[in-house]
Amino acid sequence: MLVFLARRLLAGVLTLFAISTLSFFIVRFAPGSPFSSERGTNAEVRRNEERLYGYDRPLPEQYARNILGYLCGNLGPSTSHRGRDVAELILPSFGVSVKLGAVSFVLALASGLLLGILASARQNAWPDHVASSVATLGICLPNFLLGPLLVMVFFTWLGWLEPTGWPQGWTSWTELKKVLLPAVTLSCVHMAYISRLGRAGMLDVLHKDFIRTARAKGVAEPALLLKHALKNGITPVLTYTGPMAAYLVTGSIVVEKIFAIPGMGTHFIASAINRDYGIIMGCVLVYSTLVILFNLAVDLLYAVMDPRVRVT
Amino acid sequence: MIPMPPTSRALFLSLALLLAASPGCSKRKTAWPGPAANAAVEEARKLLTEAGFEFANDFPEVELLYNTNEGHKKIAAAVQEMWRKNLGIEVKLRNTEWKVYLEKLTKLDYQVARRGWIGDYPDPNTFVDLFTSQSGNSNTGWSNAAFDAKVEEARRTRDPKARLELLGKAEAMLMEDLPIIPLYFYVSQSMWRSEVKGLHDNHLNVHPIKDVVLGDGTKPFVMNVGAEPQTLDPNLQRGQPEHRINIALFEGLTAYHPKTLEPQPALAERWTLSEDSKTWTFHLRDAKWTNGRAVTAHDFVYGWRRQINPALGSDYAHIVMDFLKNGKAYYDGAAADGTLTEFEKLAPEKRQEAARDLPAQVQARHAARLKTLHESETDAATKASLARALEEAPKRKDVPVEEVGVRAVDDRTLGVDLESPTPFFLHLAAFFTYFPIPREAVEKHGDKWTRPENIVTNGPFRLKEWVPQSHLLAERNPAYWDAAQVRQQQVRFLTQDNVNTAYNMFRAGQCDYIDTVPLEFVDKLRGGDPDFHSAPILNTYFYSFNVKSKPFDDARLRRSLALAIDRETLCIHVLRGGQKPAYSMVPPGLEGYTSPTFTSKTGSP
Amino acid sequence: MTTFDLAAEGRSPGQMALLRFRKNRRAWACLIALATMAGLTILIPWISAHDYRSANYPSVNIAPDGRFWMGTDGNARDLMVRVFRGGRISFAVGFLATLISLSVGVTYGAVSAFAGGKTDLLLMRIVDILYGLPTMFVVIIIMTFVKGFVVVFLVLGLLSWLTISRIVRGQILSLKEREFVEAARALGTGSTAIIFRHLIPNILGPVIVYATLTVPSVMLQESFLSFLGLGISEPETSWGGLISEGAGALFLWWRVTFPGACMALTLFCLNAVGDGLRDAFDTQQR
Repeated sequence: MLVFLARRLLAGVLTLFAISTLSFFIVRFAPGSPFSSERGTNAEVRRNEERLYGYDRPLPEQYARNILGYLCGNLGPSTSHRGRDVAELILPSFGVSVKLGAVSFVLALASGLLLGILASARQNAWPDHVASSVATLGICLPNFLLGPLLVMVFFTWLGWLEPTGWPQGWTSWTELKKVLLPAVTLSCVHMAYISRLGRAGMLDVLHKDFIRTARAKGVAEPALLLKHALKNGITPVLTYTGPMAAYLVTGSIVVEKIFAIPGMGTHFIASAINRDYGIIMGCVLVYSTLVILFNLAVDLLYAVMDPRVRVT
Repeated sequence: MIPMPPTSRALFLSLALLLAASPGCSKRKTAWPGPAANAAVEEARKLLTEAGFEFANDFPEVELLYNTNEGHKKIAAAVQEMWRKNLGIEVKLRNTEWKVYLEKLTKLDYQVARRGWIGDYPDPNTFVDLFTSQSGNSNTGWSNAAFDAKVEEARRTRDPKARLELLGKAEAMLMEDLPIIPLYFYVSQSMWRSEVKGLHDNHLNVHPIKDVVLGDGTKPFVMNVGAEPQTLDPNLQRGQPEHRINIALFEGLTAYHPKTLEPQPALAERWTLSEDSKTWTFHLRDAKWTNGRAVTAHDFVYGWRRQINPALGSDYAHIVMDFLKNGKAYYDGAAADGTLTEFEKLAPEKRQEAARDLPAQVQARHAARLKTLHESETDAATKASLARALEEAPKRKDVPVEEVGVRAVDDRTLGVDLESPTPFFLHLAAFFTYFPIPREAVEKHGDKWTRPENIVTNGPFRLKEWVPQSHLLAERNPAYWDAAQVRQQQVRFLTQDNVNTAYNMFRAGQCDYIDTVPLEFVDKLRGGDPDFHSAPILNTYFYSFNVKSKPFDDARLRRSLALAIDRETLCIHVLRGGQKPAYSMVPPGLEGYTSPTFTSKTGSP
Repeated sequence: MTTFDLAAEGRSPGQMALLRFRKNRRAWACLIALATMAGLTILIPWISAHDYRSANYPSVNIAPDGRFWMGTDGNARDLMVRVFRGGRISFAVGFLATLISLSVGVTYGAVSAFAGGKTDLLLMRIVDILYGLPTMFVVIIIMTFVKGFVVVFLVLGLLSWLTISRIVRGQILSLKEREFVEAARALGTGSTAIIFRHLIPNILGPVIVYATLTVPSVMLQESFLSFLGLGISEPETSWGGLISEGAGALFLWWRVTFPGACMALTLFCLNAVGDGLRDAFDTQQR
């Protein structure tokens, strides 16, 4: 097990290295420069700005500096926020994105599993159809539509919730309820995915012999579902939670925009549009580290859930 | 394989055949798409025929470029349909995100492109000199010596009426050749609460914060500026969002009247103008920076010189160097200094590009260095450029920064020498490029001088907090010379760039001012929302041709396309916000100036 | 060919599944509904009195009435024709991109899990790397090299296979230690045959479900690509495009409701068909 962990962590570091290398060149080769602007700056001005950030140096040299910087924990300066460093910009916002992601994760997993289990327990009966319809609706409502819809219902019509904002503390209900709309918006699609994957996984298991045996032995239906079937049936869900966790933290770009949440997605999209190479790379690194860690966690979970899987 | 009954197989086969045989082979058209809607379309068709495209036959595939935006898309789709219906021309629409769009525009890698221009100051010059050959913002490939000469002549003319007449003649040439076709003149579409006093609609859509007060002034006034400011350095700022903030933090010689935009005395108590209209003398009042030091004439000299220092890299340097005496000459010489210092370190392609600019920039002092570089250069193109520069250098005398037309007569008197009479100079003096700059802060903190803990300002408000991608907080500056007039205690600037979100915030009372409203909400709001404010602004929306690309090198074709757009319909039905159809580049509302139009307005039905 | 003939020939697993699917009335009805929807996207623009790009000024943003059954958009164009014409693009994008995504993802995941060891480690790290790359820039770069509408399918397909490959790998990891795989191996069956004949058919359930989930996701992602300028441009449209336009002005309810409803209906049917297929291929369910 330890060997496995060590090996995977090493592979993770190499993966990160590969990602930063590829991203560096991809971002640099994309048309547009951090300094191109609506006003026709003359070439001399552009060169001066490039010099200021070292962007006039040959690419391999810039790349080497970049990687060296990362090794020393230095993400470099930002071009679109003059006088600020990448780290001081994205780290505070990262916390916000993680909190939003965590709330959405719990929401998506809990509601998705509930729907999935209900649907599989009463296959092709009304609970199944209801769950399936809810899931379909969840998928059809992309967050750029669901967000405004929720705002329309809960702010414009009912006046219960504010249309934008982010909790300043997590203790009072007035602050806490600000997270509701963004979290529901963000988790909706994933709730639908989990319910579908959960249903399929559970059905696979429910028709297996050991379940039939258990049922024949008179194990009560809820216990059967939750104790025996669930453990084996949620492998597809489990696999999905890895990418999902990453999506929820990194994919909140649209939701952050709609609800004016000062998260990392806001920085990521702004930096991409402004070609702020420093922030783009910073975000890519943070996001990738997350994805790698989540996937590692999922692989470990496989091994715990299913002893037949050998971790190598 | 799924078994398939013979009937459905036959059906499937015939469907496949039908799809394969469907149109794709183009036929030569023998008629226009329908009868001409009006005289303008009639003329447009005639011109198209003259340009060699009868019934739009053989019209090549062309692309209309715009930056991704629902509004631009809507307009482009409407124009595309008008060209198709009126001329039979099929234009492809192509959108790209902002930076790619800019790249294509500046490199002339486009055929037709959507553009807009907002006046920097209320004078036709800001719209007309955009298209001179040496302008960095023309982006059309168009160059017309007679036009350049007219604009230059207007610059040198002292008599205001004669000057405007000359500009009018220049614009007429522009409308004759049509490297760009105007579509409409913008209106501002902002919202603010009735409790907010001191905000007014005006031509430039700028809102001095000094007189603004929300209720009794104790609650913060929350204003959405529409985007994250890239910097608060007045010498480096780029757009409207920074302008909205800096107008509260800094103050120049003059300041805009919030309603009429007439320049009011600000840091300058009074001023005099010399007989030849080229030398201004400003007398400064007793004012302080936020660090307690007095604002002096030297701060202006420092700021203006810094603004036109090419090493700083300001996009707006031209707003200063084009008007100050020797401004351009100093800038060019300094640019050459920079290029020559770095020359050997540049990558080969950058070196070629840099060398191309040199002949127009070099001055006497560069000759020796050029000579060495020329001798050691191996690349033929670069060498040729260097040779030309070497020839030019001795002909031009050196212009050091001291010769630029701004000087501190004493601590409280600023002298300004202009290249030519500039009747709108007092307007310019209120523009952010002409703000004074606190030298000590810049020199101590470098790039970081605009951070809240370092910044030193002289305006009615001072910066307290700046959370990137969220907001900035400014509070009343007690050291401001006119602090008694400032009644608002705090101003919070939001940087929300999502229009719908900003609108929701306004509706929820989280924000007191928004600078724009969501696209389709205009009808609803114009119908009688008391918080909605709309007024004409000096901003033209136009389509620009790359006149170096075929078939748009033909002025007849450009005119034909211009005539085939029904601007009335566009404004009344598509935009619906009270925008005015544009038949000229310069917007109406500039005193004493009447725009020549490209058509006798037969374009309107 | 009738079911009787099938029975006479002896039933292959595929034919059995087909038989079971045909018995599932709900799934069958939904399949027909899907086909009808596809048919309508061809038919309606063809027979409608309105043209998808002609502006009917001054009828801008008109609510549904006798003349415009689904109302008009901000450019005074008939929404009904645009919804169905947009459906063509969405159908094509949804199904083709999913097909690409599935074939790449399933094969990749299966091979990775089956090979195991170092190969698995390497292949999965490649997936991690691809996850990490900034999508927007990848798309911008691809756009500068390749042109045309085909790019849309490719880009969408290639962007969405990563998750499915991980899911397939997860399933196969637990399957490949089972007795029947051991048995097949003992009988000398080759790796390719084991993967495609024994392993993949056994994980069809989650795969089909995931496929039905991928279809709407790529349909919507297509509208993100048009933000970057890739994909379709005016006057053409798609459901994703219409929905995102409509989302900006919800009070013009018809602009989001109709394309949204068409998409929801399609997906609902798709899910039912997916479930039906899953049940039909479920070998243990008798």
